[in-house]
Amino acid sequence: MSSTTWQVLWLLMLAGGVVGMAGLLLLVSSGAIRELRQTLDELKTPSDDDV
Amino acid sequence: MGLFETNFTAWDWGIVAAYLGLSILIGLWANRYVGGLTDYLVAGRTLRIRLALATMTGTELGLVTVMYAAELGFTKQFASLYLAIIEVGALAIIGLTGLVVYRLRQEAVLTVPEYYERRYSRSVRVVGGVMMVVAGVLNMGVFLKAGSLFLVGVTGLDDPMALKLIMTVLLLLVLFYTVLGGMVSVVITDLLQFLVLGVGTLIVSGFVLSEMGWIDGLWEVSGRSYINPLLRDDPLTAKPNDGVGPVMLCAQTLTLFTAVMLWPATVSRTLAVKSPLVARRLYLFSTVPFLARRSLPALWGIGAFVFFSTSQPGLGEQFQEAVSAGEISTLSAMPLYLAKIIPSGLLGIVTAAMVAAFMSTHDSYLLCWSGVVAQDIVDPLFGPLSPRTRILVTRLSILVIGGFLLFWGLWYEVSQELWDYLVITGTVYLAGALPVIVGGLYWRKASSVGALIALGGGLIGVTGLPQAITAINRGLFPDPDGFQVSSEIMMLATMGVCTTAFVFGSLIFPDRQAGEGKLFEETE
Repeated sequence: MSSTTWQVLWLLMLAGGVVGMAGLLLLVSSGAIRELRQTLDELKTPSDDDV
Repeated sequence: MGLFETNFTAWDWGIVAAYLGLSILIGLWANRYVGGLTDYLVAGRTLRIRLALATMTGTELGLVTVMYAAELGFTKQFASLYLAIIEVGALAIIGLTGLVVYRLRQEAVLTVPEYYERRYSRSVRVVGGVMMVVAGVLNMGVFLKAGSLFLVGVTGLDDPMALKLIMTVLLLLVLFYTVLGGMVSVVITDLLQFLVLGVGTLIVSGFVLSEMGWIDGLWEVSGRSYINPLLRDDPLTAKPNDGVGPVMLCAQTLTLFTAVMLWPATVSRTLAVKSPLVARRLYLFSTVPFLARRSLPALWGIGAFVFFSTSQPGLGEQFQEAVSAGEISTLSAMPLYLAKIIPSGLLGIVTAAMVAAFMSTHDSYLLCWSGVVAQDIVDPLFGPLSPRTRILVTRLSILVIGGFLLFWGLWYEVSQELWDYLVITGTVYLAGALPVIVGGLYWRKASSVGALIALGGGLIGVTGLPQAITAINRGLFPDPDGFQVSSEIMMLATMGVCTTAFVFGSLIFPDRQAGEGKLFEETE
């Protein structure tokens, strides 16, 4: 692989990291609170191994 | 400007303290949702995809990850990003095929060693549990040190006693809410930590990119730094064999592929999701945060490299002198750099984000290893224990492991790059777990004896540590110009020996009841 190919590859990886983290923040923050509420509601229901 | 000068002020301390206070409140609040053992260890297996993603990212994007990835970015620049390609590739393959994780989740076990007993025997479960805890706790042993180096660099604290006190308080906080609320606490705090961490990493990346001159600057730097990981020699250093090279690439590919599939802390998240399908999806979606966890800190390390080599050569000389004198290591480059380019106020948010990263990894790891001690070592040996006693043993184990971490983390000196230490100690567990789990799921002739030999064989992995490498070379390969063993060779050898021993052990000593009935049939 030529030096230019390596350069392009690494810059794409770095850009992917920045854009990916921003997108992930948006995705998770849009629905995670609702999912957390559902999880906590389910945890309120007694399970078989409750102590 | 001095090397240890920082923009960190009392305001920044205030921001960090406020964040820590919030974590305590969440820990107290979460305790009310812990009804039974399943709630405590895997949050009742109720996690959906967004929450699972947040908690997986919180766990895997720890401060130790940030530190080692930044160190590699500083020492090997763009070539260090080869790890991101391997990891993302491995996750994508597993996410698309469901390889191992789908079947493992469908087994509905609480821990990996529980699967060992179901597939092999009780003795395999106990030995597997011991190996997992030994490797995991040794691996985790340097997390505290890495965290303390970050805080020293960013805050400018030079009093060793003050630093030890801060690290102790941080660890006690994690112990507090993990002991109290188990996985429920971990998940809720991980969500908060993910949000703080995500914002913090984006802020830092923005500052680093602006300091380097955005895309044009990055392009220019990539043209004069180490970019080709296939080269064994780093072109920027005079030292031979200082780069990555093909053998290291092979060793890292094998280890990382195994780690993303079978590393206990990752698997514990797989086991906590709602269904096998969600487990598969979690891997596919995790390609994004895993890319971020490798590439963003590496970017900060590259920024530190440019700062010390080009922008501030005077500081660069001071830095090299301090490294040569043994006062600091290359791990400190990134925090020292951030302390100078990020303004006060924002530096507090960034530090809170890194403290969040520190805590979210510690809580999951502590719960994971302690769960294994209670479920897979104490219960099979002295049980059956009631759910209440198991939770008590798990809580006590969290405290004991926490005590060990404090002792080990504050005095052990890492004498190689941090990532190398982590991957070598990880191999102790992974080399045995790979054939035992994969063989158990996919090979009918896999036997208990083969599994026991393979798991024990993982101990060969410690020969990858620099002290052992020096001893082996001195005794067996004294000619420095001839063949010499290296950590990557010993890692590959350990993997090879364990897998071979597993295959031959299983063929020579088959189980009386062949595992055919125990093999899993995949159903969607």
